[in-house]
Amino acid sequence: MRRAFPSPLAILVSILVTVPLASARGISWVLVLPPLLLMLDRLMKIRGVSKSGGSDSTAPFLLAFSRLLGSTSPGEALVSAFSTSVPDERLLKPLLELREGVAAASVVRRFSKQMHVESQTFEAIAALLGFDRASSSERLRSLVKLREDRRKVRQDLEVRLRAISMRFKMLSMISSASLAVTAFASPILGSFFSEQRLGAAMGRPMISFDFPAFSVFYSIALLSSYLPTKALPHVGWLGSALRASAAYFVTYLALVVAVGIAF
Amino acid sequence: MPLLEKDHTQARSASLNAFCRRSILPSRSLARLSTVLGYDAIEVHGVAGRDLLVAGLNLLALSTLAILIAILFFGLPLHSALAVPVAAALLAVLPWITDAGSGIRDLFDAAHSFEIFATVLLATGNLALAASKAAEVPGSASGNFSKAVMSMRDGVRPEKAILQSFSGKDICSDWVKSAVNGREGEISPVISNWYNELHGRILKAEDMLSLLIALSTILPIGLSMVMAVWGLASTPLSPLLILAFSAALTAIFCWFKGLEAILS
Repeated sequence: MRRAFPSPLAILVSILVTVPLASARGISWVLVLPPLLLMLDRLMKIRGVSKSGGSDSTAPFLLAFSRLLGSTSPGEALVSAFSTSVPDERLLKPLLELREGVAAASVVRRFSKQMHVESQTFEAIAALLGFDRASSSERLRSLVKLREDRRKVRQDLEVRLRAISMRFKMLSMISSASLAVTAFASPILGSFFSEQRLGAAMGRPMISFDFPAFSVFYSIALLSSYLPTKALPHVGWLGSALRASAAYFVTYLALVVAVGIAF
Repeated sequence: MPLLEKDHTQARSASLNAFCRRSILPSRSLARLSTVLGYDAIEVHGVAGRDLLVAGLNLLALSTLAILIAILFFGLPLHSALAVPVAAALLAVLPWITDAGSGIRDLFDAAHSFEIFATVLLATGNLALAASKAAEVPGSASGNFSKAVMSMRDGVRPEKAILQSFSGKDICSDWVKSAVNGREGEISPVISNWYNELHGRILKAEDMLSLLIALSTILPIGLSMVMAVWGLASTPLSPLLILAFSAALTAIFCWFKGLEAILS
């Protein structure tokens, strides 16, 4: 039962759905809905796709180092690459050891101890430096190219996810606005297919607040704006719920005002 | 009984006992339920899946009790209790729909491991060293590399150990095979193919997420129209419809997750 508590939204939706029933029947739904919504919530729980971006701060350094390695000694290439781009301030101390005659491969190995995320990359580079200069340079360039390919693919994913997230934000607001329209027109729509409801609608004024429809459709708007946020990394559930709520309330109010002015 | 099979049975039994202890249901009914549901299906989903199932079963037991009390003592109509079969159906179906699989993020992590593996392999020609370095990179592939290193320590040939540890791992298996067989040559094309594959998966994931978003927009409007036209908003059927809507959206998401393994 670890972390098995209902989300605030599950409770809100349960209340929104059960209050219009306005009877003892509602109690059972208050008991049943939050756990069920919680289960759905847990099923859709995911890890963020974009959280392990890795360190891109070393990319310019490695690119410069691989280029310089072809024309200069590994030690000189390291110092020159550092002057182009500093991947991490902590690496300066091991770099100064070059002046004491420590081999470039050992310095790079010491870099790996300072870098937690990229330690294996620097270990691999230290191993590459054991080759002759031309071969090391070529292989290091190949490694840098691979890292660059990985970064491009990740960026591509990021861009696509951001675009989808933006699309979702807009569609969720449109959907909430449509739900508000349906909630407002619910008595009229219902009267088309039932003589009993038609009679009830005829006896009411043009603008009447249908609380059950308002409440139930609002809960649908909340759910439909909340559930997909579990799959999208750049959309927060609270922001999405607030956006949907704002679109819903504003549309409903706009309809009340517009119809009020017209009739 | 072979030793490995015996160990596996004992491990399963211990795991099932631990699972039973955390549930409020009697262990005998849980054991029967796990047989009906398929214990392996529970086991596949790992710790998160088991937590979910335990929480779900406990909540289901409490909900059933609450519904029974409500019907018996408060005279509630029977259709309110429809939520119980809905919950049971959800519990029974969704764990099967949700499939573990490797996610895009896992593929990214694995790509990092493989870069290190390829670089060390190129630099040293030593498979064991390359595997041990790749095993230190955090991510899903490091477990397989660790397994390979352990096998090597047990005397298995490095090539065989690595290929065995990735056997049945789809794209990873193909990659390792190419890397091990082509270690004297150029590995970059192999990794480039990896990225092409990853890019393909990202495109599929994008399509599926777009479809999920479209459905999350269209379904509520359709549902609201049906409810408005039939006047269901103020009837006890409305919570059931809303629950079914949420379940449908979750099921679609879980299906995508299982189908293309968007996320783990």
